[in-house]
Amino acid sequence: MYDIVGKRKLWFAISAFLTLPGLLFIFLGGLRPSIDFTGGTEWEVRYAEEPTAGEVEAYLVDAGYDDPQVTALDDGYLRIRTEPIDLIPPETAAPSVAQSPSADPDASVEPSASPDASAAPSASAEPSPTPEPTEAPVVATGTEFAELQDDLQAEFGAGEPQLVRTIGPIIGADLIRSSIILIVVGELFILAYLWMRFGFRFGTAAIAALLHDVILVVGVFAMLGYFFNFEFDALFVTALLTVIGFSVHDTIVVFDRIRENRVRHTGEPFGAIVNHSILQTLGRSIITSLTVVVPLAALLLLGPPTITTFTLALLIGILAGTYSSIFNASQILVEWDARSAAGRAR
Amino acid sequence: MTWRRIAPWVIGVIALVAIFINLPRTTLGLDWLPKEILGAQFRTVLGLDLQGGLRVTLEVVPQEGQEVSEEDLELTRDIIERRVAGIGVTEPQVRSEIAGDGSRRITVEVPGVSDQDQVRDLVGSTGQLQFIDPQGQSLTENQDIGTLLEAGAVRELFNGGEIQPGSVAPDVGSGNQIGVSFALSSEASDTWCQFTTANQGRPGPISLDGRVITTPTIQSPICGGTTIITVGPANAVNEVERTNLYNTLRFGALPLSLEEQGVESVDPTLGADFLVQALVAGGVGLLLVLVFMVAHYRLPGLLAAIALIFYTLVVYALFRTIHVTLTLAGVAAFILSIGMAVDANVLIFERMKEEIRAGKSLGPAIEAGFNRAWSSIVDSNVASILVAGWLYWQGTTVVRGFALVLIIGVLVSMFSAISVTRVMLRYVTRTSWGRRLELYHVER
Repeated sequence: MYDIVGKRKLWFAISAFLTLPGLLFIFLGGLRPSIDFTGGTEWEVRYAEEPTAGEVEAYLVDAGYDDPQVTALDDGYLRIRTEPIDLIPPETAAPSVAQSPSADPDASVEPSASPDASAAPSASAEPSPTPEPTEAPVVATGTEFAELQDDLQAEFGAGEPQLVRTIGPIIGADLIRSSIILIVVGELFILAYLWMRFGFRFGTAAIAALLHDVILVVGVFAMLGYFFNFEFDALFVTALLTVIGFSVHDTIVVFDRIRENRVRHTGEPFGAIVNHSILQTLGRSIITSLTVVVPLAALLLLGPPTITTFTLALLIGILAGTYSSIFNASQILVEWDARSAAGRAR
Repeated sequence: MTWRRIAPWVIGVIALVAIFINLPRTTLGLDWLPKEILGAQFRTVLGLDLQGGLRVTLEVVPQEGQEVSEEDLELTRDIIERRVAGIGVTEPQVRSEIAGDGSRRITVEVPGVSDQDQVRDLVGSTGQLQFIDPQGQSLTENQDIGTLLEAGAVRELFNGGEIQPGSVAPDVGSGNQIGVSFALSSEASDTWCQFTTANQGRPGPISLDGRVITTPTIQSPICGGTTIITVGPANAVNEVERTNLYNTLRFGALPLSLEEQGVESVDPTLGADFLVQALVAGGVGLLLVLVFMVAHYRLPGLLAAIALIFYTLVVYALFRTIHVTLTLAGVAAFILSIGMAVDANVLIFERMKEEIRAGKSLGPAIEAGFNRAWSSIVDSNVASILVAGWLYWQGTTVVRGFALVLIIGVLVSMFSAISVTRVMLRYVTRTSWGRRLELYHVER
């Protein structure tokens, strides 16, 4: 029988080898947040003259934009990002705003005004608008963005911006905070559930494996960001949480088998039981992983480019999750058991 | 044992209902059915990223000393929804949500819209109309009079709250001037009558959200009857303005002031492309999984594949019934949930094989496979639902769509992978050909 447990130092080393470079690039600032987090205006466009990213960037700097970022995409498309343009400011509505919401029904009951006027309504009562073909009654929006598009098209040829998004700084800051809460609390939920179902050690080991997966995914994105300007967006956080859910799914299957085998084979050394359980569930772990990885790969290759980040994060995370459920979570248990046994012996 | 007997029927009925819900009436030749049965209440709601459209996120900015109440938020949401619906947009979705920092937000999703600026103006505008006594000041159009009002240099006679709801109407005046007409409450009408009598020949400005929108010269006293705000000559630009003004006045001013915090738009043709790509990718993924299951597990794999098709039908029917907004992330969630649905079967089949190898005969091995795998399936699915539930509870709109798909997927998969497969396996193993071990791909 293949001895997986005995080689646990090797498995831990592989995990370290996989996660450490990522960590390094996280600290080197490789992670590139999208405008979901930073705020800004972003659009994708292909101009007729197909300027390079550098040319457009230089043009925007000349036009007075702070730190514009232009990334070349496929087929001559560019992704252009600037500071937020054109958000409508809050209306400093006059002091009386809150006093009388007009949904108030009282106004409607008044009959007096209309009947007498109805005889000659439009002619007499008209307050005689001096007709002017004027400004909008509502302040026009989109003007700065529209002007910038006109300028860019004058410079680089025709091109219709697609996927225009503007995110204000407040939403970005808020997303960072809520993402961290989402992930931390999400893990705590799982930890609590595992503690409840499997006890302290199992729960802790599973969470350690989850952390491994999260660090691995984030690390890969830090590297991709460092070398290829790959960005992570709001959905990335969702992907991480899903990876956590899926990975814990895998881990639980192995743990469940360990729990069962422990009862059946009482007296056998813990390491042997774990090894046995891993081998018994190995087929299932790999097959299940495959049935998710294959469709995800299809989505990555054939699906729309807008969810590439999301799919890629899921894909990496699920592979990492399969690895860690086999080679980390249960190995941590064995290591823990061995050490506490050694502690007792002393 | 009654469940054993009725289960096949229950499953059959569910599958049939799902097919009826999923296919359009015309395809099924059911146009003669009354609309209430399998009618328009079943429809696929696509997210903005799959059908194109505009999403505007607005943050509530409380005025000094203002407490933002739930009623104000609901009223604001409602007014915005009615305004957007008023310009002829189908199915706008306006939601109020709480941001992570406790501030309140309103998101407006408008599918397939062509004129973005019109919608943005309409939803962000407070819509407070004020009739101004200039008190000798000369005001120009588009002038911000907020400070003048505060300083008392100009005076508000009355505001849009005095407009009689229901009296607001689009108007075509003399010389092809288009505008919006409305009647005032009696009190405001008196005030207006006095003011216009005293100020003949002088301007009577009207402002919207603190900006002067028109300063017509009062030509005769206006006592009772309708007042008209003129936008300008009839042309495309003015038509849009008039429609916005009409909808703003019709539904009244928002009780809260809003600040635009995000605008996202997807071109409808691009959205359609994405939908096709996502469907193709999802279809290819599903097909590969089906092929794999049959190739690897043979007969049980085939049954699992049928269960998976059942699963897909039911999940899609649920989406159409409770109107889950399908986004790209949702499609990814659906694909993931396929994996989880298959996982339950994989667990059961692997267990089954083990039991056969351990010497059990087929029937007991199948039952043991289902029973022993059960605790793994429950534990792992509960963990997934915990995460998805947390995402649904806390997440933003897009994240919630994803989470909801995942939750539905996991719940349905527990039924399809376990009950449906089990019923079919029991049936098959009662036949003589269904008991041939080579169909189960077990290496002894």
